[in-house]
Amino acid sequence: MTATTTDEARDRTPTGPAFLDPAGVVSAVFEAARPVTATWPLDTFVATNPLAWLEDRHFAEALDEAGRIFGPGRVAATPAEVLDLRDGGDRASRIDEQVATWCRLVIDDHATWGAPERDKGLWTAWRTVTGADRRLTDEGRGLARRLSADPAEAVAVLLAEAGVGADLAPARLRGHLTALPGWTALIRAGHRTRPGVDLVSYAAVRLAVERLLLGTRLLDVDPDLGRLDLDVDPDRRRAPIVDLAELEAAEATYRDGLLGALAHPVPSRGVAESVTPSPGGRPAPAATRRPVQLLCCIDVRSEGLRRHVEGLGGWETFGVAGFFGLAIRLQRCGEEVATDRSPVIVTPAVDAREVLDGEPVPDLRPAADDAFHVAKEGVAAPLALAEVAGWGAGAVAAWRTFRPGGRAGGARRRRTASHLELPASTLADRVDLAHGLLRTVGLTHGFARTVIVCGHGSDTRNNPFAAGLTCGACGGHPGGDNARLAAALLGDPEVRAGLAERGIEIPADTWFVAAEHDTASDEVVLLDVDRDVDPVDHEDRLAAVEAVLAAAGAALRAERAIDLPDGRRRGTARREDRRRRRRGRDWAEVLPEWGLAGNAAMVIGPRSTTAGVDLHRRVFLHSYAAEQDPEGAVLGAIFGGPLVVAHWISSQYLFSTLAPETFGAGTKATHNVVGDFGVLSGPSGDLRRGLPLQSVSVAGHRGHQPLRLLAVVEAPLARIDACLAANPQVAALVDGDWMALAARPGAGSPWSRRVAAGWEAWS
Amino acid sequence: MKDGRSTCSEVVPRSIAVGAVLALGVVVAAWSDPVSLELGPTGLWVDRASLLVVLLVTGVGATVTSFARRSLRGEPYRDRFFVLAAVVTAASAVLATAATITLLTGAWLVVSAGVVGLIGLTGTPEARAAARRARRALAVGDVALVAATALVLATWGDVSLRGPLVVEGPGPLVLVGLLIVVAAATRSAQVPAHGWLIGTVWAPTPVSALLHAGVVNAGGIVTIRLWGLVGATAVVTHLLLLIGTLTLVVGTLQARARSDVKGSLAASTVAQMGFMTLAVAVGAHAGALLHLVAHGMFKASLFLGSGSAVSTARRARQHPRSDARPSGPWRIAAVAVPVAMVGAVMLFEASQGVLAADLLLAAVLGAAAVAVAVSGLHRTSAAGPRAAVMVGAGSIGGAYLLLAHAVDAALGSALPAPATTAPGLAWLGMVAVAAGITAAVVRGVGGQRVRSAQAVLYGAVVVPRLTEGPCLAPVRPVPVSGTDAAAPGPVARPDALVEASVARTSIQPLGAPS
Repeated sequence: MTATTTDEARDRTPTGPAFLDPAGVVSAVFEAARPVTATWPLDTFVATNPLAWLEDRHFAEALDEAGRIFGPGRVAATPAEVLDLRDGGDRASRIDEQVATWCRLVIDDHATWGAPERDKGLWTAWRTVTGADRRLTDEGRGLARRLSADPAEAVAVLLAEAGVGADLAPARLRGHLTALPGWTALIRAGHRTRPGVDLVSYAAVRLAVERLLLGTRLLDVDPDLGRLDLDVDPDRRRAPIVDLAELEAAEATYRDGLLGALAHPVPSRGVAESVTPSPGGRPAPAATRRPVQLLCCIDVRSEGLRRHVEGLGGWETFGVAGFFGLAIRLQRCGEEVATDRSPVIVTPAVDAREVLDGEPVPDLRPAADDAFHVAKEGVAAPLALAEVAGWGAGAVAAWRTFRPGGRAGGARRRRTASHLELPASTLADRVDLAHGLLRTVGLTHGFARTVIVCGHGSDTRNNPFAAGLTCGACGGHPGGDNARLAAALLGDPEVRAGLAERGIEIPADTWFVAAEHDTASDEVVLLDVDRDVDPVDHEDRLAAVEAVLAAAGAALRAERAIDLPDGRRRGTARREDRRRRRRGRDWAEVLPEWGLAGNAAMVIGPRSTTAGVDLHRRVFLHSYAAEQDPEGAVLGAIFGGPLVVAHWISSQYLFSTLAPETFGAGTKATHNVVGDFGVLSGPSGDLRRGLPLQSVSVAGHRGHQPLRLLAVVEAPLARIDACLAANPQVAALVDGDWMALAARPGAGSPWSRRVAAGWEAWS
Repeated sequence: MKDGRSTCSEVVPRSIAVGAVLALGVVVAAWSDPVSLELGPTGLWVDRASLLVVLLVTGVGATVTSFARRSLRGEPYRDRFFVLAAVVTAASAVLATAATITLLTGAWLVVSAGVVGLIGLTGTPEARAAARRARRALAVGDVALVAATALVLATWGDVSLRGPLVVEGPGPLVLVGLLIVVAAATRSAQVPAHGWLIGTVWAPTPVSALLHAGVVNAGGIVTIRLWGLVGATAVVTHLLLLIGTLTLVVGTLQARARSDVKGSLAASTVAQMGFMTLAVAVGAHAGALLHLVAHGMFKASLFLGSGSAVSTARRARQHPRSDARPSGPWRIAAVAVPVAMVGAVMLFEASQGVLAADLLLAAVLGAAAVAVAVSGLHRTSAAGPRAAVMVGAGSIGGAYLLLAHAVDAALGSALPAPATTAPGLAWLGMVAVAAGITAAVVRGVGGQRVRSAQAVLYGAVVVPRLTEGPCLAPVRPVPVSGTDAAAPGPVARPDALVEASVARTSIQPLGAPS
């Protein structure tokens, strides 16, 4: 509701406020929830910018606005908060407690004894139970009964009775919908929720509980809450979310250092010997054919792997969003429901399925899970279950604690050989997919004999945030399946023929192999190699490739151990390495790996831009060959997709670090998983958003350095300008200082910084 | 302090682990003859029964503290956790082995203080409030136990707990018994003192594991150790039975109504403690002891592994149960086969002299075996696997019953005999009725009237109480606005709006005197 509308309403209704009608309530509620960025359930953990709704404003302004709405500096925005501030008391938290309880009881529908009428949603369930609550007075029960069954009507009546006119309703509703941002965010996102679990029902419950708890005291505050004089309590006003000057100083230090290093690369062993930079940035083909090429995700953790295999094996590496351009809905064998293997902003266009090559091995685990679950959810059965299962459970718990590191999971768990198919796609579709992938990466000539397509996952245990450590581009799943499909497509002779027609000639002896990088242990597993025996010398090739991957993994583990708490102990190198490999599989470990912590920049350009520079696993690397993309179509796609995602990840880490209690999920020590979608920090309260404390900082350790993203692009400046013009969202991010953009047209040129007026020299 | 490690985190897990190993060593020594350790006027008394408890306490303590070395890394309260965990573990072990009632009470008070400290460990406002609530509840029990001890000291002196307690001569048995029941009920989270236990979920995971596996059992342990005082009067044993049954029902309802992982674990602890109290009340002391030890390990492992709930749920979504309703004969078989197998074992044991413990245990084992057998029907339609699941579930139930019987016999000498005041077999009927009602409520059986009763019960058991504000009738006349039809935006005339709502609900209109 804009100021103009409000003024008009006042002008035309001099005798009293006009009130919202139910239809008006619906739109006002949705508008009021805008400050809360929708969140995804935990099992498809998706990075989002908690301040996404303010991205059209300048960063500093957005911080101020967010600080007024969320966190310790929140300006009292509901009558209960105003009364608490004025008279003391905990009314606001008591209302929140009730509402949060109702959200937990109705939205999480796994309880055997569900709330009566929970199938009809939040509002109906609340009315039914409250209307029958013998602990309330007749008046209290009467309130629940007299309110309409339609939540929008109930909201309209409750607002009207509180004297909140149409002009003040937006602010009042915003106060309510931002009080428990976690639940609002989940309801707003609408994942796996049912009819009646919507923002309007939620608002109705909030207003009714408020009414029940405050009674006529609701009228002790002015309808406009007296916002002019009752601003935030000076005692509660804290330092702003971030000290901008400090942030900018830290950014300047990092960015100047990075760009300086990229301007004068220090050639490292291995890479230097084999790289012959060409004007386009890619090493000259043909001259020396690389033994192996490796396609990785743009994830910052891939940088470590790439640096080590380049150094140790002289491989050439590329970076691309880890779903390899294959937005698929994958039906895996033995699973009932297909899962989306694509960034959540992309709706999968292609159905894929896994086909077993042999007989399926029966998996007894779901049946055992089920028997356990049924016995646990019974009435008398749990009493016996605890006793019969207790002895074994105790022994297993002790074993897991004192001898951490069980069997490997994830990609190494696969027992029967299988392959992936695209059942509904034509040859032309498949050629399109393969062509798109190679074009995006810029790998259109100079193919090595072995090309590895490497996704990534993270094998961790007892970790509600496990999906946050896997591949975000694969929808919170490990990227191995997308890699398998990509390798299969590129190995398909028909697809290769189609590619050749479009000018991409893949030599007959080039072998595409899929792999998965476990970022918790830095072990890389080659996938499907036992079934695809195409090249005659494949065993020799495999041995060579696996040796390099093993050595690179060990080096990367040792490098990462320096930053990890308890990463280094006194012990033989062999024992230490074993301990590091098993770290993720320790059920007591709250910090299996640092994930994307430390991320600070994204480089869009050929690997020669960064080759030989140790980027300390802090930089997203997206391959881009400017000379192969004269129209800028590829660059535009990178701006609109991977760059925006990198900005979201960077923002999530930034705000989870700066305000761990407000925008982060708080410590894992007290997390209580609710349903399959979130965590609470106790038995009740708000659903937590963002990253857990252990993902961004641990006392006495490095953790995440809060910085905004620096995008570094190697492409003609005019082409970048054109891409920005075509992507207003990205342009707004750069102009609003949400991220910085540095560019140079080619290897020899100095860096320029994108500012509102155009380009200026980076100094 | 390098790498966030500290002396406490190094020393505590190791010393508790050493304690566990020592306890294991004493098992061998004390199995045939109880070991007595004299410390001045008091001392420690280790027999088969107390050893079982000490093994649980030290085993859980060692596991939990070792777990916490990694899971509480970087937490500001980490050192305090290790100190408190060590104190609570040691005091719990003393509680189980104290040779006199004064030492037992002393250990009890130390555990109380430690528990309150552990719950408030994180220092957040919610945790501090939960700690205050626990302190209030536990203080009632502390006062009751101290008063009971004072009465005992004044009447019988510092009675010896070396072997089953026997008091001679007249004394205020009823009063002492009631006081001990009050103490046990608060510590074991029995209705109506069960509210503090859910607050433990505000504490870090290792704290929950320690409290739910070790500390809450103290109520049952003390009742058994002081059975000579508690079981002497019928009033007290019947009260214990009532409390246990009620707690079992309320705990089960709350656990079934929650689906947040730690919340439902905490509520289910209440139910399990109710079951333990029930078993103690009917004189099934060995059964109660066995239950609390096994449940302790079970609950500790579930709390420590509570982070895996997301991946378990993901797996469950990938492998949903089939909706197909198995045919009638299969359903009958899934009930009959396990019941027959467990029942046969029970009848065999009955021929050896039936115990209340066997009846209780057989009932719940039968229920669990049936549940597993039925779950098998929804997993596969092949006859072979279905039959295998039924027979397997029945065999496990029967075998466990035999095992429990053997342990009963082995612990027999270390435990007090069931008192003559123990409730007769009529209690079985009461428990069965309570279980039936609980099952009916959870499954939502019944017509409209029953369903509205369920809504009442749901509010009372599940939803926190809300204090009402003053005057909830429609609060004031809404000013009639002067808007015309051309008013901008979605604006309605509030009087019309309110009339509409009044018409639907026939409640007094706004502005009427309330």
